[in-house]
Amino acid sequence: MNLDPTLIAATTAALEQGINKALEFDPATRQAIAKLAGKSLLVEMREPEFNISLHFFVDHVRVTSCNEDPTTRLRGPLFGLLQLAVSDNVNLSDSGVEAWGSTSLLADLQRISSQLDIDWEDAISPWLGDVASHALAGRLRTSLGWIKARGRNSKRLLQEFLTEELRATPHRLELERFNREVDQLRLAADRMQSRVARLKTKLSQQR
Amino acid sequence: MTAGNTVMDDMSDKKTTHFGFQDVPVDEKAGKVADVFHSVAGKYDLMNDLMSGGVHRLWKRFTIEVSGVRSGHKVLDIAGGTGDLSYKFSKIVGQDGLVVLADINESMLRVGRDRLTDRGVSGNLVVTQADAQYLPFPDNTFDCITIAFGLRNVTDKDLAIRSMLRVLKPGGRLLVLEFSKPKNELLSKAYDAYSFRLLPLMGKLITNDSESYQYLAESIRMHPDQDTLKDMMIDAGFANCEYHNMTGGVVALHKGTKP
Repeated sequence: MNLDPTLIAATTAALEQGINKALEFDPATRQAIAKLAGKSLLVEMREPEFNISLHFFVDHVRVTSCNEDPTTRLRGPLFGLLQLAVSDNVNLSDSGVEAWGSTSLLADLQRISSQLDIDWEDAISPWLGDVASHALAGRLRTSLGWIKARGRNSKRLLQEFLTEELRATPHRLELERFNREVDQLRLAADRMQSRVARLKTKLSQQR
Repeated sequence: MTAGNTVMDDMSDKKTTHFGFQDVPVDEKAGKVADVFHSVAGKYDLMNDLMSGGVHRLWKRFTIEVSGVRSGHKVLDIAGGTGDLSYKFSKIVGQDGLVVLADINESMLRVGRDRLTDRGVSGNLVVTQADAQYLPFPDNTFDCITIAFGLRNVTDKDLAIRSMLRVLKPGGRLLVLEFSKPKNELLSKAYDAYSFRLLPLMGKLITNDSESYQYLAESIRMHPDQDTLKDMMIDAGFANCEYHNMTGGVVALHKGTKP
C-alpha cells in the first residue's frame, strides 16, 4: 500500500509537533535528547509499509519519512516495533525486528523514554488555571502510570487471558505433555513397524 | 515545439511562448509574469493558504524530506519567493551550511527577505535576484537545488533545467515541486472547476486581481505533465529521475541527480 506523500507529510508534521511540544515540558528529557544531536533513527515498518525517521538536534527533534544515512535502522512489523518501544530492555529476539548500525542509540532512547516525565501542570495551566490543572495532571499521571504498567505486563496478561479465560490456546505445560505423548506414540509406532518387518522376514524364510 | 513550450512562429519568424492560454513573444513573457507577481506578492502567503487549504505546507515539507539536505550543505532555493523552503533549509544546514534564496521577481524577494529577517534567519542565508535560465553561480556549487511552484513561469524550461544541472555538484539533487495533472478523472474535473471558477473569484475578493489567478490556473494547464517533465530532466542530463504524485497528482515532486 502506497500512501499519498501529502498524508505522510501530515503524519510526520503531527508527530514532530507532538514530540517537540512534549519536550518543552520535560527539561530533563530535553537535555538528554540534546546529547544525541547529530544522530538519527530510521524505523521501517512492515505491515503496513511506512517509514519514520527521528533526527536529533540540540534543541528539537525532526521527524521525516526519509533518511539515507541513519545512525541506527530498525526494520520489522508494527507489533514487534511497538513491543520494543514499550518494553524495558533492548531485546530483539522473537520480536521479528532487525537492527543495523549503532544499538547504543536504541539503549539511550529506551532509557530516555522510560524516564520521560512531562510537567502536565505547566502544560495545562495556561488554559485551566493552577488548581484545575493540578487535579487533572495528577489523574493524567496516574492513568499513564497504569497504562505503562499494563504495557509492561501486556505479554504475560495476554498469554494468561488466552490460556486461562478463553481456553483458546493450551498452556505451555499442556503443550509439552502433549508433545511428549506424541513422541512416545511415534516411538511405539516405529517399534511396531520394526517388529512387523521382522515377522515378515521370518515368515518368508520359513516358506 | 520543444517540451519547454517555446515555438517558432513561421509567419513572423518570431519565437513565441505560452503565457497562460495566450501565445506571447518570448521576450515579453518574463515581463508579464513579473507583473503578475508584483501584483500578488503582498498577499502571496495568505492566498497560498486559502487556495490550498494549507496543504502547500505539506507539499513543501515532503520536498524538504526528500531533499536529503544535511548540516553543512549548500542549497539553492530558486523561485523561493516568500522563503518558506529557505527558512526550513537554513535550520537544517546550520551555520556551516549556506542557503541561497533566489527569485527573479524583486517584489517577492523583498517580501521573502523581510520575512526571514523577522524570523531571525541570518548568517547562513543569502538573498539574490536571479533568472533560473541563467543562474549566476559557478559550476558544481550546490548540494541541492529546489524550485517550488516556479518552473511553469520560466520562459525556457529546458534552458533553466540545464542551468540548474550546471551549478549542481556531481551527486547533487534537483527537486522540482510543481502543479501537475491529477491521475483521477473525477478529481481532474473537480480541480478544473475549482481552478477556473473559484480561484479567480478568490483573487478578486482578496487581492482585487482576478487576472493573476486566471493566469495561475491557465499556466498550470499549460505546464508539462509528470512524464514529460521527467523526460525533460533526463534529456538535460539528470540521472535517477523519478517523481512522486501528491494529493492525487494535483502536485508532483520531480527528483533528479547530477551524474
